[in-house]
Amino acid sequence: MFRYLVRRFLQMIMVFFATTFIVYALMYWTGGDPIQALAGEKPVNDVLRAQLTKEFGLDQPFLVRYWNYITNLLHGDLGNTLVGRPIKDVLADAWPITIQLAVIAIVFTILFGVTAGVIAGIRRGSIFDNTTLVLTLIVIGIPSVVLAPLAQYLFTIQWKIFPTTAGGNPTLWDLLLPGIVLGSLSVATAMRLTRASVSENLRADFVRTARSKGMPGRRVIGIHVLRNSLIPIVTFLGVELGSLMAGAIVTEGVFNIPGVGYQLSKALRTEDTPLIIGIVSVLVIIFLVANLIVDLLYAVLDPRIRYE
Amino acid sequence: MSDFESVAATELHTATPGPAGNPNAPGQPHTLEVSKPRSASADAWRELRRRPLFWIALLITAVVALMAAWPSLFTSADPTSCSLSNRMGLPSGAAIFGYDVQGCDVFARSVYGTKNSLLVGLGAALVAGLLGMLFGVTGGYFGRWWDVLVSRVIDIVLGLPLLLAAIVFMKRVANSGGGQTARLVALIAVLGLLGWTTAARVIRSSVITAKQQDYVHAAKMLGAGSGRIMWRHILPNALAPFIVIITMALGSFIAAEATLSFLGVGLLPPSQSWGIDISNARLYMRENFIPLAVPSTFLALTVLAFIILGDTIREAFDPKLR
Repeated sequence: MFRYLVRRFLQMIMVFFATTFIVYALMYWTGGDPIQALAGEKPVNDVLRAQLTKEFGLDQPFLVRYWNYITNLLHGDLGNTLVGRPIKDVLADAWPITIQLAVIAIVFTILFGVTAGVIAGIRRGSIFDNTTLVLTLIVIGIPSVVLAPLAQYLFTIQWKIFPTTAGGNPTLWDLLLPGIVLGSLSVATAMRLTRASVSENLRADFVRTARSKGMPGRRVIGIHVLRNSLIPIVTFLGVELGSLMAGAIVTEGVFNIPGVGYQLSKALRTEDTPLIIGIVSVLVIIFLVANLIVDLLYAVLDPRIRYE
Repeated sequence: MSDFESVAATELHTATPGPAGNPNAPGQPHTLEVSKPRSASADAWRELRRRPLFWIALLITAVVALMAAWPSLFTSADPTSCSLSNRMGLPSGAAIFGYDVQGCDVFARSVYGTKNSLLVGLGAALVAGLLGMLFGVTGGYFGRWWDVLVSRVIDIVLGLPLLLAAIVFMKRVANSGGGQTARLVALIAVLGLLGWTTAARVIRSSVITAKQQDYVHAAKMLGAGSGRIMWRHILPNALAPFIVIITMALGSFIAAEATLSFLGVGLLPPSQSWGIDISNARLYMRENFIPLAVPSTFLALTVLAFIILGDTIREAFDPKLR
């Protein structure tokens, strides 16, 4: 286990360096003139240019600049946006909102996806099973650029149930509909995963043994089937939490929620390169850490899995 | 988008045939009255033929393909001739879904947008399929340091969420200028380069299973070269899950193109794209919902058709589900 942990950790570090390097290289290597971008339309005189080049370390070789960026990143210093606001502050304001949104999405996924998956898995071939299968297929097939505006139109304009946009300081109620929209894609996947894993476990030897010992059906399902089936689902939800934060960009944009995804799309519009890199780096780190935790959780949840 | 990645990945748990459930494994028991054993693909085809969902999905993809090739068959209106006097015009004989905020024919714009979506989807699926096949087969077959290298590269690409990485790549393309064709090619390259990993993983695991089979050893002993063994004996085993992954990936690439164009980093006007139309119409949906609904329906139906196609093929090839 310890050896696996070390290997997995080293692997994550390698992936971290490679991904941040790719992102950094793409944005900076030949990405135009950052000093002119800072000045906007105004011409920059030579003295100012020399001063700024030195200040931002642009006179140094690319690899040195990357190294500086990484060390700053690891110290928690993400630099400033083009307008001079520390990126850390931007993220500090945006994170709580995106996390709330992701939590709503995950809770929604568990409530509907996992429950429906368990029922469908137990009653395979029933009307409920077939209906949910087709429904989940449809939900998987509808991209969020369609789902988010559609939900906004139906539930906030046509039937005025939810607020149309969240605005500056969103309450939990404001975030409910966007959270559900964000979670709907995972609902479908979670449901299919649960169904497959429940119906697989129903045919397992240990379930047959439990039944032949005369154990009541409810106990067989509750103890033997469900607990074994939930292992892949827990890990799926862990990975999903990471990717939901990245996936929130469309939903947050449509519902005007000032979270991380919204900041990212704003940065894209205003060509704020440092902010784009900062947000993407942090999201990649979260994604990697979530994957690592999930891999380790696997061993904790299922003692049968032993890592060499 | 990364969500689709995970969808495809979870489908794999059921799509990847284990040693016991390998659809092409020889000597699979068949029904008694059949004297000559049918091949697994013939079995799958019989299964597919009976599914109405498969035919519906196939019909939609056929219509979409036709629309991309000859848009003028579906509409006589010119999507680029817009007149502000038609602004938000309601559906009429001249324009069946009316006009958008710029006075362009809503239906014509969506019909002509099909081409770009399908081009990006097909192109990216082709790139991803070729890369996935190349690295999956060679990594699984040769093993050793090459497999380690391939697996690490896959880890790195998977470490970048598809949508985020595509945004950064496309932003880079935007900085370097370039016309509409350049952006289209860039989109294909970016999505293909980021989307091959799932296919490679599936193929790699199938190859590792197939490599141990007796017929591969037999072929090797008879003197077949590595290339021939990989192409003739190992690849066909991995083909069914590969087709499923690529079909579903095609749908998700189309969705990714629309999402990127929606965010303003994919195709840009004056290119025609459903994502651009959705993003424009969204702002005026209180005034008129139709300009939003039409491209949304086109996009959702197309993506859905490819996902359903992949899903039904997967079910047909999975003996456990019969």
